[in-house]
Amino acid sequence: MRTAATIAVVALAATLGAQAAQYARRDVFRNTNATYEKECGSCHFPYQAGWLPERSWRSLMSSLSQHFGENAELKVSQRQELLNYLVANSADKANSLRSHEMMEVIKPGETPTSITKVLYVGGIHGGFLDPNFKGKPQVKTLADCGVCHKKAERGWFSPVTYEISDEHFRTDDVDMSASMPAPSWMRIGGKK
Amino acid sequence: MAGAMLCAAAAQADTVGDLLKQYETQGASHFTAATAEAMWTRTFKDAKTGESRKCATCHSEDLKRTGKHAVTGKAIEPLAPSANPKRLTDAEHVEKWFSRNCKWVLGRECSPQEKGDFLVMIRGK
Repeated sequence: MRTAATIAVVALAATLGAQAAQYARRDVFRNTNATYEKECGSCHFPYQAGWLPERSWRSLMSSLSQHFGENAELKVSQRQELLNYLVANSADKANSLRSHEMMEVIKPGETPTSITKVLYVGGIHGGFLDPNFKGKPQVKTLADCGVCHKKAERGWFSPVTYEISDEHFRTDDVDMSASMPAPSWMRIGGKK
Repeated sequence: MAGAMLCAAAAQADTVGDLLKQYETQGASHFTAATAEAMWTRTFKDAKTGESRKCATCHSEDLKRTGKHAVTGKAIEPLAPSANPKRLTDAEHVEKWFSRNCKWVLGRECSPQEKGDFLVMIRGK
């Protein structure tokens, strides 16, 4: 039987409140381009433009024939339309706290193409992909935002609760042999 | 509702008919559903990753059922027009996905003959 502890993720709630005032929106701006939602959203969660900087969108949109191992080619006119839309609303231009925080994590020389691998997103969610994670939800990839964030398509990634099994906390999950042995003065009996 | 269904059926007939004619001008002829059926379940090995791929990987063996994207897990609405009347009503949509998916499964574009066979097979579902 599995008893589950519920853990709330409250990401930087206090600082968010204080900083939000200087931005037009706290979370990412929602998608406003129907072609983008249709063309990109038919295969995966239609990530809002405000999740990545302009240079990332340019890189992604110029390599659609090799899109994470898939062929996602578009007509030239459509590709240009979507690129223009994404660039105009990219994280380095959007006046939102979420986009601003994303940009803080991405180093100037980096051009990330996978949103879920940027530490701001991947770090906080990494535990879900841990083979020891036996709670709920069970996800195969982090690309399915809507499983937990029910309003994700509308640009609202509110903190949510998830379940984690008690087993996750058992010490036999941790390989103690890998940890450093305690120095002799810490061992019972003291120095010899 | 019945009117809308009729419209969809008419659009389907037009779209598929026009595409088949187009494929014929490109050298294809005598389209058969049976050829496409065999192709549908055939497994191909991806040259780069070595993984096995087939049409049914994402669309499921039964075209009336909802499929699942192999990588993202996103639901793919049924291909069978009987289960999803929107199918085969937009030639551009059909061609776009032939191009993408043939490359994903076969590692190349489908020939006009193959595309015609698929259309005849899907139309009958």
